[in-house]
Parts: sequence; C-alpha cells; structure tokens
Amino acid sequence: MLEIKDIFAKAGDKEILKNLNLSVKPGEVHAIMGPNGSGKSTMGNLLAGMPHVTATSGSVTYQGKDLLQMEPEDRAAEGVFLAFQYPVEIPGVNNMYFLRTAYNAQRKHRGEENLDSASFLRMVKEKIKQLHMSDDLLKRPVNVGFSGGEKKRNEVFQMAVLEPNLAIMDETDSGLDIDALRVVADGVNQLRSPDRSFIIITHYQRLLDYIEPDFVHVLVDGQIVKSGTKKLALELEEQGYGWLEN
Amino acid sequence: MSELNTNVVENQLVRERASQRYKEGFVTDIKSITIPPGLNEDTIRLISKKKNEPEWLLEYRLNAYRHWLTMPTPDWAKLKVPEIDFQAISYYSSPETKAANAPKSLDEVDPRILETYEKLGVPLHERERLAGVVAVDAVFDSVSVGTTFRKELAEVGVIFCSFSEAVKDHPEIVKKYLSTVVSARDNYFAALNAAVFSDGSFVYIPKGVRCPMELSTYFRINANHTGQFERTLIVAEAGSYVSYLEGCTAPMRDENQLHAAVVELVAMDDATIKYSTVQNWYPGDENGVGGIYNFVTKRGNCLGKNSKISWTQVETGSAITWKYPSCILRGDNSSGEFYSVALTNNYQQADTGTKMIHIGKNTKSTIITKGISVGKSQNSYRGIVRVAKGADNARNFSQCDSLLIGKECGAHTFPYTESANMTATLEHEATTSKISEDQMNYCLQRGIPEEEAISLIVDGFCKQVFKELPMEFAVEAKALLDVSLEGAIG
Amino acid sequence: MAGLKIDWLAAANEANPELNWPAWMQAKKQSALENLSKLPGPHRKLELWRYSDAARLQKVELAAAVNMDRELPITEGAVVINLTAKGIDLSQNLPNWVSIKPIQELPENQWFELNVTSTLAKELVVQSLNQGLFTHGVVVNVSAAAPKDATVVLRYDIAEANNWSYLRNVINLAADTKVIIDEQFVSGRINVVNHYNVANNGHLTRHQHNVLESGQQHVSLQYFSLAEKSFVQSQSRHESGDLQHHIHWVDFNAENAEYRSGSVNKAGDNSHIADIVVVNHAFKNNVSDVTHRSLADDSAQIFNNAKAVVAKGADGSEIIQDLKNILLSSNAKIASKPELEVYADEVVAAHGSTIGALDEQVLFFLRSRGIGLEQAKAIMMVSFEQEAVIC
Repeated sequence: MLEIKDIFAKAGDKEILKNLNLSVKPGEVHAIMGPNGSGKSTMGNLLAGMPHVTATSGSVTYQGKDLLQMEPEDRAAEGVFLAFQYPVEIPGVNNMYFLRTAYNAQRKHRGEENLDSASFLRMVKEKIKQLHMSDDLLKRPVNVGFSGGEKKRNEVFQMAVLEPNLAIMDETDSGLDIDALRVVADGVNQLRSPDRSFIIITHYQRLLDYIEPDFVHVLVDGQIVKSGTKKLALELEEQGYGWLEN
Repeated sequence: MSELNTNVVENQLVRERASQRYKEGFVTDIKSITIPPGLNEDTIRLISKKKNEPEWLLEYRLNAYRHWLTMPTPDWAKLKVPEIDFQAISYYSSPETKAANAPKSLDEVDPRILETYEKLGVPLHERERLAGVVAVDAVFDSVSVGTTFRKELAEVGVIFCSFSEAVKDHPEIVKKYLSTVVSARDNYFAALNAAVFSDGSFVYIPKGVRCPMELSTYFRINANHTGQFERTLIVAEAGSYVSYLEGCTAPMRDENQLHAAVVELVAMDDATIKYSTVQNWYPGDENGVGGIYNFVTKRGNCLGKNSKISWTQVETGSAITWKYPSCILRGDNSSGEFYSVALTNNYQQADTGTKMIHIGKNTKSTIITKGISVGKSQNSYRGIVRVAKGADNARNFSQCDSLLIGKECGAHTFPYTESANMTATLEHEATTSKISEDQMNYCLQRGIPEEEAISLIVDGFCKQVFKELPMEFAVEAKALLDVSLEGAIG
Repeated sequence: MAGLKIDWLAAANEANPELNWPAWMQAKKQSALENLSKLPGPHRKLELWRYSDAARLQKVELAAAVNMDRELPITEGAVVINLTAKGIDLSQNLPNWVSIKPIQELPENQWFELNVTSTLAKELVVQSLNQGLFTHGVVVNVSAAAPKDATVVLRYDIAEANNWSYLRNVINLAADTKVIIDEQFVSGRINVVNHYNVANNGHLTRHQHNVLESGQQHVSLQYFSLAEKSFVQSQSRHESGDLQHHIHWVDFNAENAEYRSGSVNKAGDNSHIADIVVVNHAFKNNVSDVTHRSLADDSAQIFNNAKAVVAKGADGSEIIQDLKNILLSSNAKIASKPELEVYADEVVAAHGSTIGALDEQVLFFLRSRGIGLEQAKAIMMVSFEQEAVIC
C-alpha cells in the first residue's frame, strides 16, 4: 500500500525527516511513537501534501503511484486521509455541507456519480449512530466552538464517511479523556479491514491499549530507529525514549 | 468611595510634585556663543563657516533652505500646534571653549558642562564603566563635546564621532549616504533640518564587524531661545552589527524650544542596526507652559538582503511629539521592527508611530506599541504599513495598545494598512482601555498603595517593549516612566 | 469644484424644473450650492477619497448596463417604494403602520444635515452636493403598529444611466417600532443621502443591496440617529460597479443603544469600492460593532474604514471593529483602516484588521478531504463573507 523510501524532508526551512523508511501493507496497523520534535507530524503532513512540507530526496509510493507528485485533493480521492492534530475551524460552512461536498468530489474523481442528498444524509446518520455521536454535529459549522475532544471525534467521523484506504492519525489521542478516547478507538476499530491500513501517530502508548497495532516504530531525529510489536510500546512507556537515543 | 480617596491623594501629590518631577530641569550656567535669532541665507552661511564646512555641504544646506521656503507648514493631524516663529529662534549655540572648534579631549571641555552630564548620569569618563561598556558622544546644544572609547573602536574599524568631524575626516562616506534615506524635500522639518542642522552623531561599521560595545549619544539643549537640529547618520556595511542608544533632555523653561532632528540609517546585506531612544525632553509644566516641540524624521533603509533595522523608543518628554521612525524594506528577506512606549501627561501631545514600507520579497515587519495617556494629554498612534506590488510574501504584525489613566485625556489609534500583493499577510490588533479594576484590586489587596500599583501595572503593560531595550536603557526607561506617572491616579 | 458643479447642476435643472420646494428647503439647497462653489471637488488628498478614483464621478458616459431588468427578491407583503426617474411609484395601498410622503413635505424640524467642521466639509463634498441638487425622495414614517417582520423596500430604479440622480430620503421609526427596511439598487447613476431616525426602543433591521454592473456608479451617505435603548443592525452588500462610495454615519443621541454593521464588499474588474463607517459615541453605555469582509480581484481596489469617536464622559461605551480583507489577484489593492479616537477611560474598545490571502491551512484541509482547489477557494470565500452577514 505505502512505501516510504529514503525520505529526507523539511518543514519550511528546517530539515526534519532524515532517511525515513517505512513499508505498510494493506490491512496493517502501524503505530509511530517518538519524542517531541522527532518528525512524527511532519511525516503525516508530507503524506497528506501540506504546504511548506517538502521532500528533498527519496520517494513515496502509494498503491504503485508516486504520491509526492499528486495534489492534496487527488491523494484524498485515491484514499489517503489525515486526521489532523489541530483541526481548523471553518465558520459559516456546516459539517453536512462540507462532508457532502468532499464525498462527492472524491466520487467524481473516481468517475462515480454523486450521491443524492437524501441517501447521503441516511448514510451519514447511520455512521454517526455507530460512532455514538450526536447528530446535531451535522448542523454546526466545521469545528466552530468545538472542544478539543469534539474536534478529534469530528475527524474520526469524517474518516468513517470518506472510507479511506490509508488513514493517518496524527496524535488523535492528545488532549482526550478516557471516554473520548474510547469513542475514537471504537471508531478506528470499526473501520479496520483487510483493505485498509492505519498509521497511528501517538506520543503515549495509552491509545494502543484500545487500538492494537501490528507494528510499532520509534521515530527519533527524523528516522525510524527501532521497530517492534506492541511490547516495544510498553517498554517505551516504562523507560522513556532516552535509551533509544544511543 | 475610592473616587473620594483618589481626589484627596491626587491633590496631595500635585502639591509635592512640582520641581521633583523633572530633575533634569536645571540650567547650566556657562558662557555660550549663541548667534542672533533669525533665519536667512546669511544665518546658514554663518553656521557653515563656524563649522568650517566644505563648499558642497553649504550648497546642500542652501538648496534645502530655498526649498523649505516654498513649503507650507504641515497640517497637523491631531496636534494643536501654535504657530512657530522661525525668526525668533537662534540656530546655533555652543559653549565657549578655549579650543577653536570641537574639544580634542575632555580636559578642554568646560568643567561645568562635564558636571551637567554627571548630574544626568551620563558617563563621559572612560574610567566610569557601567555593567556593560558604552561609548558616549555628548552633544551640548549644537556641538559635540566629547566622544569616548574612540581608540578602542578605531581598532576594529568602527568610526563613531560627531557628524561635523565625519564631514571633515570621512567626507566620502557622508557624501555617499547623506540624504539618501531622508531627502531634504521629504517634509517641512526635514528640509529645515537639512538647512540648519548643527551636529549629531556619525557611525560607520565596516564589513563583518560586530561593534564591540553599545554606542550612545546624549543630546542636551541648554541655551534658551535656541532650537536643536541634529543630524545623525549610521551606516552598517555587509554583515555588521551595531546597537545605538540616544538619550535626550533639556532644562525647564517657559518658552517652547524646537527640536527638529533627522536620523538616517543604512543597513547593507546581512547587517543589523538597533536604534534605541529614551526621550525625556522637558515636557512643559502641569499647566502646559513651556516644553520642547519634538518634530523628528527618523528612517532606516534596509538596503541589503537579510538586513534588519530595529527601532525601540520610550517617549515621555516633549510638549509636542511628532515622529514616525520608519523602515524601508528594500532588500529581500529584510526586516523592520518598531517597539514603542509613549507616555503623555498634563498637556502633552504625542502623535507618533511608524511606517513600514515593504518593497523586497519575503520582508517582515513587527510593530508593538504601548500608549499611556494621563492628565489632560492626547496620545495618538499613527502607523502606515504599505506592501508594494512586488513585495511577495511580506509579513506584518502590529499590536497597538492604549491605556487611559484619568478622565480628561485621549488615546487614539490610526493604523493604515495597504496591500497590493496577494501573497502578503498584514495583521493589526489594538485595544484601548483603562487599567483593569481587577488588576488594581489585586494590587491593593496585597497592600500595594495605589500609585505604586499603577506603576507596577504600567510596567507590566510595557514589558514587551522594555525587553527590547539594551539593559542600561531599560533601567533608565522604567525609572523615567515612574517619574512621569507621578500624580496619575486612575 | 467648478467643473463638477456646472455639469451636475445643469443636468439637475433639466431633469426636474418644476417641483414645488418649500422656501426653507429651497434656501438649504441654495446655501449648499454656495458653499460648494468654494470647495474643491473630491480628490486623492482627502482621507475618504484616497483610495477611490474620484475622477470617475465626472465621467460623461458610463458603460451601458446589460441587465437593467433585474428582479431582486422581495419579501411577501412588503411595502415597495420605487424611486424612478419620474418620481415615486408606490406599488400598492399602504397598510396602517406606515405613511409615505414626498420629500418636499418634510417638516422643517426633521431636516438633517451633518454638522461638519471645515476639514470634514471637504471630505463630504459629494454628500453636500446631494443637499444642493436632490430632486426627489420620500419621507417614510413607521409606527409601532408594524407587525412582526414588517418590511419596507426602497428600490432605486432610475432608467437614465449616464446622468446623476440625487435622491434624499428620511425614514422615521416611532418609539417602540420594529421594522425591516431594504434598500435595493436596481439601475441608475445614484447619489443618495438617507436619514434613519430611530426613536426610543426602536428596532431597525436594514439591508443595503448594491450589486452593480461594471459601468454603474452609486454613492451614498446613510445617517443614523439612535435614541435611547434603540437598536440598529445594518447589513450591506456592495458588489462590482465602476465606483461605489458609501458612508455610514452614526450618532448616538442617548444611552443604552446599539449599532451593529456588517458589510460584504466584493470588487472585480476595475471596480473601486469604499466602505466607510463612522460612529460617534457621545453618550454613555452605547455599543457599536462593525464587521467588514472584503474581497478584491482583478484590478479592483477596496477601501475599508471603520472609525469610532468616543467623547469625554461617554463611559460604558463598547466598540468592536473587525475588518478582514482578501486579495485574490496580483493587481488588486486593498487599504484597511480601523480607527479609534477615545476621550473617555471607561470604555472597552478593540479592533483588528487583516489583509492577506485565503487561510492556507484551511485551504489545505479542504483539499486534503478531496475538494479541488477552485471549489475549496469558493467555499472559503463564502465562509469568509458569512462572517460579515449579521442579519
């Protein structure tokens, strides 16, 4: 599904990723952990196509295509989804309208027909129910007045509607209490399937109690220094990152 | 209830205040040579002759003067300026000294002048070192009376001397840069200054040199019925750095004295000029009588790539202040900064601000101003941020806050922002309010008396600006603010 | 001002030579014209005309409007007043809560003119011209009997495209009256001055719909006087046109009133739009909240200005100014000026102004969800505008 090879990348003028390598197969859940400043978010932002984040060398292949050559909207239509660490607010644009526009735009890109409003509404309401979220979310403008937790849950909701092939979650658990965490984890687990891959970027191993990863990687100073299983996450939790930096 | 207490305390303090307030208000009793008042071509020739200036400089003055005659007096935006009688001012005054012109060492300077500077706390003797070493140029009325640390500076190639000396010793540099930033036609007072400027400071930092110490000039007006028209030029060659401080004081007098200065800064590639001012010209008494008219044109040209010019000012003096230290951001990636605290009390009027003109690409400007109005004063911030068509990715951020202390004063904010470039981002925020009740009550509850509380809160209000000042100045600035706030109860 | 005056004066005399003006009104017009003869025409050195090409005011021929017959939405049951070249045309019988008279029947004590200093007189030259040359208008009196959602629509529909039409209206809201007033520009080259007089506890919702075609011009002065506890919310939409120059001038005449203003300015091609709001807080406890959103494209220019003056003793005044501007092309220009003149200390005054492009992060977010660049921009512009739609 995704092949990151020898990537060097910078955010603005700063070199962040230094020789990053990662391989993700369909159906796999990879957790990325690491100290602050190691480049976790930059990795997610690079994959999504954020402005001012550029690769200086290396390649990223997604489903056989050169991902870095694609515009952000095309990456989305091909099934890449980034759940943001700090979701933006968009006053005056309500969630429903926004989601329907995004959904249909992606369908159009894939040569599919628009889904009519009624069917879309039905589908969306069903998903909201499955996520145990309230449907007055739909009437509100995107993230305006949402608490941190609500914004993160909105991200998961969008993911559920857009059904990506590769979902990258950037510290979705930060700032969440246990209940909110459970909702997010449930949402992700409901979406797990053999065709779908997840990259879960997290600072604490807590989320991994709820979303069991297949692989755990540790990112330090812009590259992956150690890979392992869930056990690695527990070790890190106990011992911190210090021992890895040697 | 607190209003009652307020009035009682206010009256007490007003009675105590009088001469305490402006401790720099003394007059130095020395013999000065002052040319008769009046302004015409002969006056200018006289000034030029007294300073032994070369022909080209006299021509420059005369051209400026002739142009000045054609200019209308400026239309004061928010200032009430009584008509100035330019013929009643004397345009040159210097202490009588044994030496023909500038004293060559402090021994040649009248000891009473040295005493003046001592009283003002200005270190003219190199033996007196502060926590950091500061080289000082002292300008008394129209002449520079001494510059310290010249040898040490010369060793690294830094030239720091009076403007008059620079004209003699480094005419090529002066000729190259004089008026390139503020032309003699720029505005009414710039033209007047170009015609009659007396002295000022000249600084030249050669390529790659980081000036080893802070440079400062203390301007002191002493003789009466004179105006001071100083001219300062600072040139920083590629890769250099200099931090320059300017301090100003004048005696307490009933008449209004005119101070019309011009400061030009030029920064080349990768050069940085930091210019700090603590302005404490006599502000007039509590009835608005007397005080300096401070009409200054200060501008910096960020000529080179990655150049940086930073203006920091604490303005507490002058009866009327009209000044807009500005930056022209020509070089790509250049940046300009303006940090200001302007306090007005009694009948003072201040109309001050900045102009940031973005011309090159990726330029940046930061404006942080704090205005404090007390008494019956009027304090205005006037700023222009202009982004030209080609100024791609220009970034500007301005924050202008005003504090009103009392019910008789005014605080005004007039920020103009203009952009002709779609990739530029300009942001401006401002608030105007009085000291928050919450903050006040908090201090009072902690046993801090009202006056002190105001002082504390104002200090906190100004913190963002104070931290940009070189340490020596920061301490002086805070003390100055305290003194200027005396008698202000919100 | 000479050139300007002669052209317009002649045209005005031609248009309506035989209206009956009461002597006092005639005197006011005459004195305005006399004052004007001493003043220069509007030019770039004036604050209020610095960013608009005032020379356009004197264009002899404007580009023909293509779509003269625009049907703008009109609320059902609204009272519609058509201001046409021939005069006033009322579309229906009037309900009991509103009375409409021609401007000539304005009682002398309801006359309004701005009391201006000499500096301001120069700035407001175009508006003074209206005082000298206005040919018709209405006096609308709305009473407290107005039902919920009562609406009055003023349509400016003057077929004559090239010559200036000077209109002057007075709208009086009696105490405790709640009404919606819609002003809609349909056609013409209009210079209009309106006085909205809102009495105690009056509640006015006002819409100003000025969507012009590329050659058209429209200048206006909307003057609001607010009595105790009154409430005014004014929504303006200024789009396109050759030249639009609008001044909202607000006077609080008592305490505890509120003025809210939302403005959407959209200029493309070569349009010049100036949107100026001046609020005078002379009394205690009044609130003013001005929100402008402006978008300039192609070679257009927009001037965005909000000024608040708080007099000494006007304690409890609250002022908010929120001006945001976006440049959509490399030849467009925007100037933004929020101004505060404060002489009282018990105030809460804040303003913010930004000029820039569409928020990059939000744009990226939309695209990351599959929405193409152009569509994402369009959504953001709608969202941006929405912030200034207050009613």
